[in-house]
Amino acid sequence: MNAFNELASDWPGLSVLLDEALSLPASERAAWLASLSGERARFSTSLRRLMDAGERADGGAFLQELPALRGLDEMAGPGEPEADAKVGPYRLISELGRGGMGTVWLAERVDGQPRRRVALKMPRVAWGGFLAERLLRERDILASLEHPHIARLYDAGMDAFGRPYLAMEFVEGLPIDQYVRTHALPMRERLGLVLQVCDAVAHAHARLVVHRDLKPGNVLVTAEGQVRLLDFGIAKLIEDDFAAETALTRASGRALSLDHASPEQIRGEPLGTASDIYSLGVLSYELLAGTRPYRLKRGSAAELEEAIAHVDPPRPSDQAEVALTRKQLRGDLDAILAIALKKNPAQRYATVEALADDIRRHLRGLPVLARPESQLYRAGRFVARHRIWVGALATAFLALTVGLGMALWQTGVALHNEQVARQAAEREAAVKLLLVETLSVAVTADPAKLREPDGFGQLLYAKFEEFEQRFKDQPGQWLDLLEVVSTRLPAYGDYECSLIVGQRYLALLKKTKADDARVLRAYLSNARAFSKLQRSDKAAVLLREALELVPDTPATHGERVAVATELGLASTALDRQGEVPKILAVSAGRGDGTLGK
Amino acid sequence: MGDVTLLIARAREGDRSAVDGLFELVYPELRRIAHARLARNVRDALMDTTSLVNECYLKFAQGARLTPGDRLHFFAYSAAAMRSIVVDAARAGLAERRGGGAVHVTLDTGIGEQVASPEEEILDVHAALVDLEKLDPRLARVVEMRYFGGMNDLEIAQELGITDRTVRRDWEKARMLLAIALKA
Repeated sequence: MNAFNELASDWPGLSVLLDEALSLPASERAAWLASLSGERARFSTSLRRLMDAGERADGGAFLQELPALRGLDEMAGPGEPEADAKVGPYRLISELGRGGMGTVWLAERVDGQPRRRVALKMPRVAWGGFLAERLLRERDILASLEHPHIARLYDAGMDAFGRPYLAMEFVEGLPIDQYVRTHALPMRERLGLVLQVCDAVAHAHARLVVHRDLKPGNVLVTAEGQVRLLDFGIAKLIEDDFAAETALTRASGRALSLDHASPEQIRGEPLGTASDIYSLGVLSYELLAGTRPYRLKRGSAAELEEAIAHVDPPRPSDQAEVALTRKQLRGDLDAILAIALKKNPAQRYATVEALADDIRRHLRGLPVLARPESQLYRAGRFVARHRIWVGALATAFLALTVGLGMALWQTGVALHNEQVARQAAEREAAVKLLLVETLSVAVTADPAKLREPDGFGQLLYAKFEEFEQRFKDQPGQWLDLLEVVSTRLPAYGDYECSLIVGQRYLALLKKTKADDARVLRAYLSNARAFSKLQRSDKAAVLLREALELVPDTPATHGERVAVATELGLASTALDRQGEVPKILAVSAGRGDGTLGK
Repeated sequence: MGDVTLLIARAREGDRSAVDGLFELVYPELRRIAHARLARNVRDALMDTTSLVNECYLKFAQGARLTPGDRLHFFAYSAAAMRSIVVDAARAGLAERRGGGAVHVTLDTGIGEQVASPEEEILDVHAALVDLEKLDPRLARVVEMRYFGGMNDLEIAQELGITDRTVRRDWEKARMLLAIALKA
């Protein structure tokens, strides 16, 4: 077996053409390749493959020098880590493994901190000098991922030699595919594991961390059947090291294991949460059907890339070997995986939660959103118009993403008839769309912005301006958006924008004679923003106005109490504590119902 | 050691057995030097393959009438011996680690299986080079001289009687091919 069998017959011609390409500046080679015609065009596929490989190789110091060998020159530098050696505050205990990325050691802290055992990863510094620097910058974000199904990143830093290290939770477990095989898990339990993975990924996405390299080797299952995801965000961390040059970014992107790579990953595009959803699809496919989505004749990397980019995977039910499995997959699960594996990211589930919800629906015997013929799918116009992208968005998404459930959802709880239900669904969808779009813009285009104190607020506000046009003919949804934006922005520290939007919201609410409780909530939100901006005087004016405008009824009582409480706080801030008893009496529905002056 | 000069001359004329003869002569000497250096166990930043070959050359040059041209040829032919030494060391290193009870776990966090451990990389390049020798012997020779022999473009050009520009192109072509082979 020769590695170059495929090229052998064409090599003399290829070699000559490569000489020609190599005599050109690197920037002109792509155009040159595209211009090949006639007999020469026959070589373009092979040429592209070779040239891509060459570029990829440039991403590392490929073959530039003989790697240092232990036993030949180990004395020259810090050398290979060995047992008992100290790396930062850790003492190495035993090597757990090694590979392209570097080495992993079982290690423990020895600097007086609790003697926690960790898996200490030491990436190859050779992959770029900026890695260490970025590592320090990003570790807090990665360390903030606290979830039962995510292996924690405890710490990251550099040792005395400047070698970066990552201290991760030490997980004892089997790769998920092995676990499923070893235990011959029935379908239901396999789906249970997939849901655990979804849960972990959703948690990370809510914190704007994308995994980018979801595959069985990175998903371990403990003896207790608990999933632990490894290496969250680290692929990106390492990849970003190359971000300076497009070619290099692509090179490193390509270095990811191809089997679970998304089409956009193959194309070297910026990756968002949708890419993880695709990889989750491949992983689930593998776990459920027992085989990967793409069966290749030759098994070459190029063939796989081609398949990922252009070939629709066969239905998992057609791929499974066991008759029972085929039966279990047919229908719902076929449809769910097909959506997760859409080539176009916008056609996939919009969130991991949506994917998980559909799996849960399937488990409960409810119709899944992935199946176009399902009742749920047909129920909402909005859903139909925007297909899965919006339709399948789960309620839980917002709660996770933004951290709070909203009154909006509560209004949906007591819905009686189908029409009201549909309206609520449309509103819900619009709100989610805004957030999802803002988030995906942020994640793919401007991740750094998110880390600024009010970065998300600014992004949300910018997107919101665009949405005003889009929702001109949908006043109900527009109102909901105004509400969400004005109540959410303060969470990102942006009170000024919140007020601008909030005042528009309030004016529009009053104009459309919206229900009183909602009006009170709008007042309250604006007043709170004023208070935060040290304008308690303005807050107090607003709150008084609210109490006078809206009478106390069973429907508004809760909101009135909240408004009065806020007013009490504002009065205190203004050194007018004397007014507080009266305010509280009013809010409790006692007294004459007025505040006086 | 006088036969070095003769062997080089015959090898230059295309005598395959002379090339093998040079290998047989140089390999044990290189090995001995490598061992000696390790035994000394000194902190020596220069302890690299180039320096090994240099020392080896000096050994042979003492007893022979080697011209400056011969010196280059010597390095070129030594590259093959050096390759063997390095490949042996890589195999030994890998065997030692695998026998040492190391657990095999997946740890690629994305940067890929493209570049393996030093030992694995060397063994992979070595294997791919065997294939490359069949596809395009000159490319393989360039890689051997540069990667294992530590020679630069100019030296290789002089040795092979081609321009250094051609050497650089050969090198790029070989890197593309090897990148494909090592990834597959």
